[in-house]
Amino acid sequence: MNILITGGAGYIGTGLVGKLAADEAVNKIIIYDNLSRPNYGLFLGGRKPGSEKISFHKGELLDSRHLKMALKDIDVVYHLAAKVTTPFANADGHLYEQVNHWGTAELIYAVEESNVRKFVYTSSSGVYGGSTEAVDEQFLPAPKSFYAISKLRGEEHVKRLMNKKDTFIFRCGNVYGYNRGMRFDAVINKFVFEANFQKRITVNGNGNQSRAFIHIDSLSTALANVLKSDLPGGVYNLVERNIKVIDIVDELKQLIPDMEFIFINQHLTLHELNVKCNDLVNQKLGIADLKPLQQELREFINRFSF
Amino acid sequence: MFVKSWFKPDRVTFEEIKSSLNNYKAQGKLMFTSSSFQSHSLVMLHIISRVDNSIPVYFINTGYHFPETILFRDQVTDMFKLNTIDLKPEVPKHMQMDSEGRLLFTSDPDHCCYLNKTQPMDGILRSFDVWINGVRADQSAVRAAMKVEQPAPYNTVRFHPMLDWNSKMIWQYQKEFNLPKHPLEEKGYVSIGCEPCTRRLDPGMQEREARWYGLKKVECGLHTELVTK
Repeated sequence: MNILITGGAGYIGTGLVGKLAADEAVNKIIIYDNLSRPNYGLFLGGRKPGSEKISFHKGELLDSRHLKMALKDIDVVYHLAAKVTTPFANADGHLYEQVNHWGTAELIYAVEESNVRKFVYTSSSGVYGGSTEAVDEQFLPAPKSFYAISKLRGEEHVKRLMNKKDTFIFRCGNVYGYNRGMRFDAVINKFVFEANFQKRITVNGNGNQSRAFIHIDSLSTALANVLKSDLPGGVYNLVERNIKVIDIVDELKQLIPDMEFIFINQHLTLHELNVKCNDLVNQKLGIADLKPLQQELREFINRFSF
Repeated sequence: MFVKSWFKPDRVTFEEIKSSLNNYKAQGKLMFTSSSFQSHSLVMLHIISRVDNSIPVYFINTGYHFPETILFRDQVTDMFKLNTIDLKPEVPKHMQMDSEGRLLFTSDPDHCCYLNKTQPMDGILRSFDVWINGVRADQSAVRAAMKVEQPAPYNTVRFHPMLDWNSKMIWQYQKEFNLPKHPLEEKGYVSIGCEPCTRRLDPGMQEREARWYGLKKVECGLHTELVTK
């Protein structure tokens, strides 16, 4: 089986490539990435079993010519590439549209003309907008940020494939946890870094905003297992837990008691988003066993060099 | 000669179009048509399918269409058994940026239309003799000035069978043959092209403002550049 991963050198890609390289059913992995983030973690760390299957194509989603060539003989596409900024995804509306919407459209056109059999798109739970109640996949999306709007528009293009290819759209929670390609701008990773090295966490809003989350290892496992799972194509939440930001702070405070936390703008009530964990999906994709958050955070802190 | 027939639009007009197409064919001329697959465009496509559904139908796939348009294109193609061909631009989108790094529709829609519509169609035009084109005189001043048969570049002819049809005639034909509607129409879109330059009308807006809202631009270039005046 030959696989192409757009955005394969990113945070999620780094986790996924490791899982796929270890899978005997996988013959070839192409990482298609423009390295727009200066993130080279995937390329470091020494050779591991299966590394001979991996190759790197530096390419743009909007380069239809290059995409078409890269898709030759590919069976499965994971579309992870996206323009993402956190915490506030509203800096330049066009840039999100350019990459997440039109880039996805270009990829879908290229996939339509290829022999790809399976297509996996990592969308975002952000497409739902906000909700105090946990929402399932039937909830009408009402995205609030440029990022989430563009991801939803990307979904609309991906959905065109559904009657032609085995197509999966996963609305993923915020990703956290250690890996070589990790980002420190997303909330939990940023908190853990600040807690460990600065002993002072910076909180946006009043901290009562909740978000849906999934650990990077779980997400990588789930995505890799799509290859052999009997889960039918469709649109699914891929979420493990919902947590209020202030509760993450509490958990860290227990691990690092002398840690402080400071609010940048605690008069602001930021929107809440709770997303229903789809237990059936998590079970079929092999991520049903959830560790306690504090244990995960402890393991995370232990990965730091001091 | 093509004659406007208000009182018996379908029977007479259809026969005339059929006769014209058969004449072109008898002369050994290669024909093609193009379509944006909007609801009103389906009338001509349906007429062509009744005459000769092997005539190539080029859909100019700019890459900026609504997903609904692509799905509708496929649905209509199946329904009318059309020979639809996806025509994509030669220049990849990452080579279609302005000096700010933004896609061209954000600052120079004329150039964007040129690369994504006019240039690809120019290449097709070179390979045929007759372009069956569904422009209507009541759509814009540019189109009102056109003729039913009009010379075009590369020694070709544009055949405009729908030129004198008005919206009432279109509606009557749609009703008679129960033609499907573009799914975005019921959501308030009256003229549907590329998503970035198409606007759902707010109350009080005019139909012309559904495309390139705020700009003087009213044509994409297909009907101004690929025509001999």
